[in-house]
Amino acid sequence: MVSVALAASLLTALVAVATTARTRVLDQITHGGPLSSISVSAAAPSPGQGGLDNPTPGHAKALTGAALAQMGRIAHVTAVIPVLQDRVIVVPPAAPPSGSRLCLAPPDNESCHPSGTASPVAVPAFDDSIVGINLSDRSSIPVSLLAGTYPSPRSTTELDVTLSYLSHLGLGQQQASEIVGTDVEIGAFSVVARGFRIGLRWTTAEIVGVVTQQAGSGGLLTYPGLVRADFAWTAAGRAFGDSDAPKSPYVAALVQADQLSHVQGVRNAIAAIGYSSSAPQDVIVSVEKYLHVIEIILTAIGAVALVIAALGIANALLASVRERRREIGVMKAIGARDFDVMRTFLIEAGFLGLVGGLLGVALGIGVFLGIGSIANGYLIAQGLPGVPITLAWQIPVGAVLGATVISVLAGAVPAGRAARVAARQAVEA
Amino acid sequence: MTAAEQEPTILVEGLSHTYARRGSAVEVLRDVRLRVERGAYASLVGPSGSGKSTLLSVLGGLERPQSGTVVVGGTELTGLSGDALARFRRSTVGFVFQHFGLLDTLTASENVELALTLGGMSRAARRRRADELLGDVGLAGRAEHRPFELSGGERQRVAIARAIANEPEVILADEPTGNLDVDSAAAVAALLESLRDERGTTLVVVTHNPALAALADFHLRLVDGQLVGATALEGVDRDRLA
Repeated sequence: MVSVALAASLLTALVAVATTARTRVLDQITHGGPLSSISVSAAAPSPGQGGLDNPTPGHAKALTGAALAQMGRIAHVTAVIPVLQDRVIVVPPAAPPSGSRLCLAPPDNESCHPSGTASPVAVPAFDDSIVGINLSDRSSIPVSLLAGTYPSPRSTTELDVTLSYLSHLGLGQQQASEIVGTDVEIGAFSVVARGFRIGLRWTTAEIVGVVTQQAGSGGLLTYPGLVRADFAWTAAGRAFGDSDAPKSPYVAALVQADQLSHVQGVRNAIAAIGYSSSAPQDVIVSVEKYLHVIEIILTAIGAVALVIAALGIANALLASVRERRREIGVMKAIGARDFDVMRTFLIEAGFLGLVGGLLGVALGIGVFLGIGSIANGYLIAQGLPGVPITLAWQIPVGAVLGATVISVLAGAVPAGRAARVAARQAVEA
Repeated sequence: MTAAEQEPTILVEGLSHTYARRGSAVEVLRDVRLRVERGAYASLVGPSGSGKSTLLSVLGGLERPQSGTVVVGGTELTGLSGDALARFRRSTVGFVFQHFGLLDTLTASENVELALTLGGMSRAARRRRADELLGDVGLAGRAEHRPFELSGGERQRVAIARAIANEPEVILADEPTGNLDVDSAAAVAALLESLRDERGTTLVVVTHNPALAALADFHLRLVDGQLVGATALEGVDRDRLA
């Protein structure tokens, strides 16, 4: 049983590590989005580059609601997620959150020396963009949370910021959590009168989290409501001669195909509608091939260990059959059929496999968590986002089932031999 | 008395049995003829190697008869399949061994229940029946003890309780007192006798114990695979048992 437990723990740990590594690598390629996601630009397709993962877009072209609706009707498309964007002026908070060592106001501000330990940081207002996207289905969008949380659904007063916002404040990723809870003022531009008189529409929002995002280009991320309102304000400038004001709030869209093999077909259909798209499908296919080979090798190592353990079980059961010939004879003498004897030994083998598998999986999960913790410690120390230490339920369940089934198979020969022990052994022994 | 009750419990005609040993055939039973009436107590004696264990094995369905006719409890054993022989052993005969044949990992109660499990009885009914049987053999307080916690005599009584669990017509005992002291042997002998007297069970007992053999209604003597002596052919008249 010990050998089965060790083999099952090895199998669990290896498969779990391989799966997590695979998730991490693909996550890096897709920036946290799904593998079959297609990024559609507000641009016409570039002729002759349809087969490339990341072609150069053609001329700018407004991405309209009608075009997005058309993309939603393409075969094998499961979702179309529009990305909104508006240019804004960002004014960092005058006062730091309670207990924070940050001091974001100009040095001459008296409130800027709460503890006297931190050097004041003067941060002027800066230009940036605010990106609006439906954050409800986060598995479908290229967004990863580094600190805090995501804005509340449909909120117009909460947002997340990216690392670029932190760098504007002269902060590093390690200080991401300290910015959570602060307020930020956002001013949307618009031409409000003839002669290009600029007006700003101010909104105060609370920073609830820090993310990395590849949905759009901007330091602020929130649900579409706030961006829609800012866009309406900016677009109103067209009435006063601002011909540069955008016609559509949509700067991009994420189109989801139902599987990787349909991505190219969907991209062709998007090009037919008149838009440029990109998707890392070729890279993903190549990387997946290599990762699959690694998974097979690691799984094979665990499986070989399990088979060796099963042979140990078979050997132990064969010895047991030899030692228990009289007991088997007695069982037959009181009415056990050959099948009953065989079943007894198979159950015994299965029990050994089940208990060994359960113990091994518990040990393997412990090893996996230990490795994950060490790996995360290293990644965070390097300023990189950590790996989610999650274990798919199929791995431990599969390891326990595998250990049980292999043990039962290993017990088949001893069980068959036990079934053939003559009932007369009860008298002869 | 019905026609079935008039039939002998054990009827053997022309039974011969051969083993292959070291390349040559050894005939261990030769033209054995035997008739044991319902409720009789027969002792089976003879020197070592005379074929006692083989005859007991054939009568108990542990081995298929190679020739002749063997009818036990109304079942013709010749030509029965493996599963049919198992059913026969489960329902018609009960074995008592010199080595007790108890499973060391099971309690006394579980050893008795094992025979009932194979008979397909429900868990609760098995438990009740095992307690009842252990009470009958004077081991009511030892149900949860494992074999190594019991004396030799107690182990043999557990084995007897297991043998009668499915109410067999025939008890086949192979040297049941061979490993017991005098007092325990006497207790086991009395218990076996009570099975015949109270339950009407037919007993065939292989023994070298004169006291145990003396309780038998008649003696079967095997010499070189052949039954000798008049009692071997005649059996016993049921009227003698009244």
